[in-house]
Amino acid sequence: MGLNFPISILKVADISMEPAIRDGDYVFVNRMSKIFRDGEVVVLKHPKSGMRLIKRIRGIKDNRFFVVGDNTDNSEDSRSFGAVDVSNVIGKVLLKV
Amino acid sequence: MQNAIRNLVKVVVSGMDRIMHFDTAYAHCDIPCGIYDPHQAQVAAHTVLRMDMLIADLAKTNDMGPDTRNKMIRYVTVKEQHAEIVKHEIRVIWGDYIKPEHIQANPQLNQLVFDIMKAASKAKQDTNTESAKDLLVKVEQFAEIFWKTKNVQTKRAKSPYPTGEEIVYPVV
Repeated sequence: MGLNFPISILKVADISMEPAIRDGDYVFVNRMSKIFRDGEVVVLKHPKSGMRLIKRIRGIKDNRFFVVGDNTDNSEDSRSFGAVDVSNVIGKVLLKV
Repeated sequence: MQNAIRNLVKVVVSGMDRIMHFDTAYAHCDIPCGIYDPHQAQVAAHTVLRMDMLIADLAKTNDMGPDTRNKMIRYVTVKEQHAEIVKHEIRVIWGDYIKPEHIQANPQLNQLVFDIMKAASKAKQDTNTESAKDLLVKVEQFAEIFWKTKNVQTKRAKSPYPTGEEIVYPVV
């Protein structure tokens, strides 16, 4: 039940998306999403390490996404690694519990 | 009611997780614990200066006995270590905490960090108190900028250390 189904469940580790998504929450991710909008939360691959990250889209330009954690004091995101290509986006978060 | 349903779903999902071991999405890829403070760098810079002062005092004695040599080696060792602490602490804050918007708001910051690295090296290479003071001045400037990025006011005061130099404190 990892990332092999159209809708996947992932466990969130750590605090950079607080208060919207907290450490230990679960998110349902639609891997089939093709349309993304500003403000939506996505799961993506870190452009260098490949690690799965969860961030909010704060700008889209030419198929490149600027993503930022809600908890800006505790988040490594596009502010340090730059905008990421759409090919790095794994899916859109539909629901968190 | 909505919360109750959400909590129930979470209980079910976490039960499934125990069996199926879901993958993890990380909120970040380092450990930005949020605890950053230039104080250790400031104290280390004061220590470098203090060691230069002690070295100068010791040199005036014209004593080359084993105890004097031992003291000299200890002063130089501590100076070396604390110049390295300055570099490490500044590097961590710059690399892990400082964001592009901080640079935008404080365009001198990158140059200042570069200058601190060079000043710390120079303070290692010689025993001139002026080199150590130059390092200290730059570290205190860094501290002011750091607290500014956190919207924390600072004050400069005479430090309680025997260097007699100023130190920047956050006003919290």
